Amino acid sequence: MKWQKFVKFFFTYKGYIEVLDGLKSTLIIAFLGLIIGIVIGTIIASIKIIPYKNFFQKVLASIGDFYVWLFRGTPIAVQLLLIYYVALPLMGLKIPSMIVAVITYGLNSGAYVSEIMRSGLLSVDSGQMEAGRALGLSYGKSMFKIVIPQAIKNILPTLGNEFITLLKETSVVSFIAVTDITKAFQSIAGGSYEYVIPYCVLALCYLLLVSLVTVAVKLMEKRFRKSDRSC
Amino acid sequence: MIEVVNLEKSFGDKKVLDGINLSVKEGERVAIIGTSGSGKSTLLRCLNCLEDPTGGAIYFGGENIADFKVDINKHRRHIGMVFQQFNLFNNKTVKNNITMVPVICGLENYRKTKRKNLFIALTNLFKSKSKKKALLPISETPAEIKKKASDKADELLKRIGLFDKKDEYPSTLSGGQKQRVAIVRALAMNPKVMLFDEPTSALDPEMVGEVLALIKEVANEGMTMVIVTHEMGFAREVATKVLFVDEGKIVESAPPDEFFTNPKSERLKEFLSKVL
Ligand SMILES: Nc1ncnc2c1ncn2[C@@H]1O[C@H](COP(=O)(O)OP(=O)(O)OP(=O)(O)O)[C@@H](O)[C@H]1O
Ligand SMILES: [Mg+2]
Repeated sequence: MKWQKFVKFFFTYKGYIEVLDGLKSTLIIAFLGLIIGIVIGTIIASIKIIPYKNFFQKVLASIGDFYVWLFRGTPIAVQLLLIYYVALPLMGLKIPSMIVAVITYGLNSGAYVSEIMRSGLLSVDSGQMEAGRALGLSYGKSMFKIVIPQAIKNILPTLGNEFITLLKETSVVSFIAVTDITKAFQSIAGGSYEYVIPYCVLALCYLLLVSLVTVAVKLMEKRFRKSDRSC
Repeated sequence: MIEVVNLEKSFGDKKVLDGINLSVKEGERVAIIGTSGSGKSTLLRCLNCLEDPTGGAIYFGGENIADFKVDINKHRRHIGMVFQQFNLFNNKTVKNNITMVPVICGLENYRKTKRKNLFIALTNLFKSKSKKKALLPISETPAEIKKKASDKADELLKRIGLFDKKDEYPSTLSGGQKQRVAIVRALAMNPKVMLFDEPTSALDPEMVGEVLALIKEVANEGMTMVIVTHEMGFAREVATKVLFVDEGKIVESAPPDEFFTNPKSERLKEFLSKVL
C-alpha cells in the first residue's frame, strides 16, 4: 500500500524528474561550493602563512580572519537567509537563487578550507619553497607549482570530509527556494501524505552519495601516493 | 662576480653576521669553513637573499641585490643553489624537477615579449608611417622552449647516469642520487655562480664520493662556486680560496695550501687541530 503510493507519485506522477533535478542541484552546489571554497581557502591560507607580512598583507590577513570568524560562527542556513533575503535586496541585486546558493556554500566552505589548507601548507617542508625561490621563482609561482600541490595531497582526506559535510549541508538550501534532493522528496511526501518511504529513500540517497565520495577520495589518495614513498 | 660589502645579518637582536667583506671573482671557488653556528649557512643564504641582509650590500650583475627594490628573482636565475637536504620537488618527476623552472622562465619571457609587441602594435596604429616601431623578435616558441629544456635535462641526466630514472619521483632515489639531481637542476639554469651549503652532510658515507666527484667535475669546467663544507680534504683540493668564519666574521682568508699549512689566527689553529 505504502509502496504503491510511493511508486505512483514517483513514476506515474513523474516525481523522479524533480528528484533528478534536485540531485543535480545538490551535486552542483556541493561541488562548485567546494571548488570556490578551495580557491578562497587557499588564497587566505597563502596570505596567512607569509612569515614577515608587510602592511598590505597584514590588512589582507585580518580581513581573512574576520571572514573565517563570521562564516564559521554562524550556521549555513542563517547565512543563506541573510544573503538571499537581506544582503542582496539591500544592495538592490536580483540574482537567481541557485547562484546565490553556490556562492554562499562556497563562502561557507572557504572558511573551513582556509584552516585545512593552512595546516596543509605548513605540513610541506620549508625547503620546497626555498628551492623554488632559489631557482628564481616568485613566492606565488613557488606556492602554486610546488607547495600547494603537495599540501593538497596531504589534506586530501580532510578535504574529502569537507566535501561530505558540504554535500549534507545542502539539505537546507530549500530555505532560499532551490529544489535540492531533500526538497524533491519532501514534495513527494507532502503530495502523497506518505512519509516513511520517501524519507527512507532520501536517507539512502545521501548514504549512497557519501559512500561514492568516500571511495573516490580513497582512489585519488592512492594515485597521489605514487610520488610519496617514504620521503 | 659577487662583491659583498660590510654585510650584516641579525635574527631579532642576535647578530649572526657582523661586517662581512668578500669578493668572489669569475672562476674562483671559495670554500667556507667554521664551527657549527658560526654563520656559514646564513652567509651563503644571504648571497642570493634567501635571508634578507639587515645591513651592507651585495653586488651581483651590476646591482645591489640586498636592496629590496631590485627584482631578486631575475638575479636568482643566475645563481644556482644546492642544499644540504637536496630539496628536490617531491611532486615532480626527476626530469620535471630539472625542466620545470627553465620552462616557466622561458614562457614568462615569451609572454612578456608578446605583451610588449601587442603594445607596440597598438601604439603604431596612432603613429605616422615613418615613426612606426618594429616588433621585438620572438626567439623561441613555447614548443621550442619545452623541447630545449627537455633535451638539456636528458643530456644532464645521462651525464650523471640517471637517465633511466627520469620518470621516477625523488622519493625513490638514494641520497646521493637526489643530490646529484639537485646539482644538475641548478646547472640547467646555466648559472653564473653556484652556492653549495654542506652538500654532503646529509649523505650516508658511501654516497659522499659520487657527489663530491660531480662537484669537482663542475668545478673543472670553470664554474664559479661558493661552498660551505666540513670536508677539509675536498676544500683543499677544489677551492682557490678558503675562508674561516667565526662568530659572524671572516677571521681568515687564504689560498688552500697556506690556509691549512700555515694558519695565522689562534681560533683557526684550534679549529684545524680538532678537525684534521
Ligand atoms: N631563521 C633563523 N632564526 C633565528 N636564528 C637563526 C636562524 N637561522 C640561523 N639562526 C642562528 O644563526 C646562527 C648561525 O646559523 P648558521 O645556520 O648560519 O650556522 P652554520 O655556521 O651554518 O652552522 P652549521 O655548521 O651547524 O650549519 C645560529 O646561532 C642560529 O641559531
Ligand atoms: Mg649550516
